Amino acid sequence: MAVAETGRRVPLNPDMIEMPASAGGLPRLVGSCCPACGARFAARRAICLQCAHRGIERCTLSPTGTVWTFTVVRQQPPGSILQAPYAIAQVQLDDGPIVAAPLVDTAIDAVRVGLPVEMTLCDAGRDADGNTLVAHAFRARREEEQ
Amino acid sequence: MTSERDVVVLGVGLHPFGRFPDRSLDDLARHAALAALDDAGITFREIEAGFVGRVGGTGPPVGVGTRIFSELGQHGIPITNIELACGSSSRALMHAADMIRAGSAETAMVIGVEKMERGMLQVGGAGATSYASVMGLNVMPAAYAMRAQRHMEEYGTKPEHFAQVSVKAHRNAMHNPYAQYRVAITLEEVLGSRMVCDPLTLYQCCPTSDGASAVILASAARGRRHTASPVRLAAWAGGSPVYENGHEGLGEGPTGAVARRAYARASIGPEDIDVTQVHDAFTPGEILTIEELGYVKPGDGGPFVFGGGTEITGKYPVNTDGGLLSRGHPMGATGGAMVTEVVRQLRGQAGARQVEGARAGLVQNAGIGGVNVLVLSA
Repeated sequence: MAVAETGRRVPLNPDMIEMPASAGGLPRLVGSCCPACGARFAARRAICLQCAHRGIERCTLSPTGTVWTFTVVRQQPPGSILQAPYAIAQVQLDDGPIVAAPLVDTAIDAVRVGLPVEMTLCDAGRDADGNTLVAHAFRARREEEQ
Repeated sequence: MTSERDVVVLGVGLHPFGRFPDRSLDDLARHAALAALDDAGITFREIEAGFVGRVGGTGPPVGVGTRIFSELGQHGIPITNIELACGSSSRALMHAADMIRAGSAETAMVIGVEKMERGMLQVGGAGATSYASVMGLNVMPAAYAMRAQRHMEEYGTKPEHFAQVSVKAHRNAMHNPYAQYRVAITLEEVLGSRMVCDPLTLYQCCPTSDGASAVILASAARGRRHTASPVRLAAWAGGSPVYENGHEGLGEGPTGAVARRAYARASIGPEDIDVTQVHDAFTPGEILTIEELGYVKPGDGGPFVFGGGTEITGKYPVNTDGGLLSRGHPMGATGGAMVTEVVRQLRGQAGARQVEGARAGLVQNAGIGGVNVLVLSA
C-alpha cells in the first residue's frame, strides 16, 4: 500500500503514531510508559495499570513484533478503508505491548501465529484540508520473506 | 439449607426472538413482562423494583426503562437501566438479586429487550471515525475469530470443532418455539457457508434479533407464598478484564475466575452442573467457555464438543435452547433468556429439549468489557 507522494502526511490518530521530523526519518508507534515501574502500554494512559502511578509518560514503542493472533476479514465492514479480504492481527511488540492493526503488503495465506512483522504506514484517506491521512499497519518482516 | 433472604426465581417470560418490524421496543418488553407475571401468578403491583437491560443503538436512548415499566403500572417503584453490552440483563439480574438479598425489596422484575439492525454489528456505532473503524478492526466476529486462531495454534483445535457448535445449536433450537432459527443444518453446510472471518463461516455467527425477556425474582420468604419449590438463584458473580503479566485484559473478562467465585458462593463445583447456557455469539464462545468454566481441561473443548459432550444427552448439556446462534441474540434480552431456559430446565418444563433430572444450572453471559456467571438450583 503506497503512500501518496504529494501533499502533507497527517496521522489518522496522532495519539498512536509520531511522524518523522526529517524527510528520511521513520514514523514510530507511540504508547505510554510508567516512569515509576517501567511498564509499557500500547494505548495512551494517564494512570499505570501495574503500579497505579499517576503521570504516565508518552514513549515510542518497538516497530517490530510477532503475530500473537490474527484473522482474515472477508465481509466488508462499513466505514473501513481496507477492502475485504484483508488480514488483521494482534501483534506482540518486541518490547511487550500487544497492538491491534491490519497486516498489509503480506499475502493473506502467509499470515500465521508467530509471523515476525514490522510497522509500516498506509493511506487512510484524506482529511478536510486535503492532506493524506496515514495510519500504522504491520507487514511481514522482509528478512522473513527471503 | 435455605434462608429467608435467599433469592428465588418466581417467574420467567419471553417474547419470541426474530424480526418483528411491526412491533415496538415497548411491545416486545410488555409481552415478556406479562408472560413472566402470568408464570409467577402475581400482579404487577406486587413488584417492588424494576430493572431494564438494553444496549440501544436505535430508538430512544434515554429513559427507556422507566417508560417500559410505566406502561405496566405506576405504583412508584425504583426503576434502573443497566447497560453491559450483550451482558446487560444478566448484570441487571445480579443487581436485582443483591437488592433482595439485602432486604431492600422482596420482589424485582428484570426486563431485557432489544431491537436491532440487520447486518454486521459495528462496535462504536455506525459512522465511527476512530482508527479501529477506519482500519477495519471493529468487526465483532473478528474478535472471536482471533481467539479461535490462538486456540487452534495452542491446542490444535480444528475448524470442524467450532462448526459443530452451530450444528448442535440449530438442532436444539428446533424444539424451542421462541427461537429465531428453527431449522437443522449439517456440518458440511456450516463449513461450506460463506467465510466471514477465518475460521468462522456465516453459520457460526449469531444473527441480529428483536426480542425480550423478563425474569421475576423474590426473596425465599415471599416466594413461599406462591410456590412450594421455586428455582433458587444460588449464586452470582461478575467481572471485567484484568491486567496481568504485563498485558491489558482483552475482551470480556476473566470468566474462569468469575465462575470459581460463583461456584464457591453456591458451594458446588463444575461437576455438579447439569445444564448450562454460555455466550455463543460466535461458535468459539462455547468451546472456550466450557474450558474456562472447568468442565474440561484447556485445549480439550474442541474434541469434547465434536464428540457430543455438550449435546442435551451429553455430559455437560450446553445451550439447550439453541443459544445465541439459533435462539437469536437481541443483545439486552439475552441474559434473561438464558436464565429463562435454565429455569425451565430445572422445573422440568423444557419438553423435547429437557435434560433428564437437571438439578443445577449455570448461565455465562458476556458483553464487551464484562462477564457474568449465575448459578441456579432446583
